Amino acid sequence: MTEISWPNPTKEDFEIAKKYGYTPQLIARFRIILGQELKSFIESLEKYNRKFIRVNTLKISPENLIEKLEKQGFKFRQTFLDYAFEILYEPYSISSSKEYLLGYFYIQDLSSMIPPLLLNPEPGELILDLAAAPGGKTTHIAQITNEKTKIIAVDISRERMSAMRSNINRLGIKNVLLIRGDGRKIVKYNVKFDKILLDAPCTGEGVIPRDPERKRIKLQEYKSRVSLQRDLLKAAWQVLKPGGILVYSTCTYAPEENEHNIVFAVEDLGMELIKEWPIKNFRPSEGYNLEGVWRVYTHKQKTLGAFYAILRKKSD
Amino acid sequence: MQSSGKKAIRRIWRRPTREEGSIIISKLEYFGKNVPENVLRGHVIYILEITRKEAFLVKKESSELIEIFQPYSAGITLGEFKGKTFTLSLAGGYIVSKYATKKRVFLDKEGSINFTYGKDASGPDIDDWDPDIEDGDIVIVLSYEREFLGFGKARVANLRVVEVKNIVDIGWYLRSEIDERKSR
Repeated sequence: MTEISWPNPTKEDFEIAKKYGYTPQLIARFRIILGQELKSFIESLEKYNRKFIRVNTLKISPENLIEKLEKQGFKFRQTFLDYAFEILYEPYSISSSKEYLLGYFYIQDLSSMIPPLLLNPEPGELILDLAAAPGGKTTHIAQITNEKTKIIAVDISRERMSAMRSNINRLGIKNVLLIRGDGRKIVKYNVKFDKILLDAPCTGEGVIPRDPERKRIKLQEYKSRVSLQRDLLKAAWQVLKPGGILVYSTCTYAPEENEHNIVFAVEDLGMELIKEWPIKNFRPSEGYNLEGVWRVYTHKQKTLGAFYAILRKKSD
Repeated sequence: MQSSGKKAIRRIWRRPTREEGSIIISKLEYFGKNVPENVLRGHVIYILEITRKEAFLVKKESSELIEIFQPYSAGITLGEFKGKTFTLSLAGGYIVSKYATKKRVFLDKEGSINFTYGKDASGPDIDDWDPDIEDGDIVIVLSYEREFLGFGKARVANLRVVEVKNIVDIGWYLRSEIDERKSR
């Protein structure tokens, strides 16, 4: 099991921690990863307020939706995806608009739109989304192939699964089966998948701008998350077809939950890391001390923080 | 001997019986002759009966996995049975509204907004309606942009739809999210 780095904070770490409400240890951890960029990184987390929508192209074209919303006073900026937009101005909360209620779009950060693109779903494929609720990535996968994939979406949380069912009904997605249960037990169904998305439960350092409680993550939480992530990785590997693709993502910066788990997948599970970044018009940062994996940082890519890796199960 | 602790709920998914299938088709046909054919094209209906009896609309290819996984949910909820009555859900209503040719009421802009806040529509809110609507009919309520807003019960007087009582509207999605957040 990987050790969690829990460094002694410097005097400056204590000062930053006090000023912004972090534990000194978390600041010390960030300093190891970011070095000179620490201050601009911390400040970017304080200021981050970008909001994006992903148009549900199963129901409406991007042009039609944007026209409807702009008529009501909303203002948008196109992103690297032709169906995703940044909201620049809301005359009222966009989640109470008629268009939201009609399932014409889903509100999610740009960083959350990346994993389904990395998965690159193809019509006819059987896809597993482990830890799927509340369904932003699942519904995006469904949308990419115009519901031509078969998707099994698993999550253990009753509340989040209920929210996911509501989102699926609102968005009108008909190719997804929801399984409420422990993703580690997916093996029991004896079904093999073409592709798997493991957007792993994590400590959520990357979503600090949305959830400031994440500034005070405890050592034990890192340990328990890493343990769960490895169990989920093992389960995913077991149910993946030979030659199948596993996209591993998190919304945290912690190397133990990211790069260390990829090393585990390669060295212990024998998976192959696919090192080419496939999205041409979006450039992430390199992994931390590991090539062929990617990160997005709030002070660099101007999104919430996230980690991505693409793995292939070797053919027998 | 009494058992203690929670029992796991066993989910049994099945295809509709002949009677259930016929009730669902009648409900779809109520909104137009070609609605069942259009709604069901490429899809399969499955029934899940636990405390409630619900019908789900699932893509045909994905439905082949239902019996293996016995899922929590599959595709969208088309509607719910109460005895021999089948009530369409909001997700079901959205699809039906795309093909409906009967029993539709169209609201103006202000009426549309108010309807999604759970209010009834009356008088000047009502822009147009299908001529087959009779007093007390369940109707699909559409916006001035022909978008699905929900279901209502029509009151007809002097051959005019004078009021639509709100049965359920798409604002429910938002209200249920708020309720869920409050309950946590």
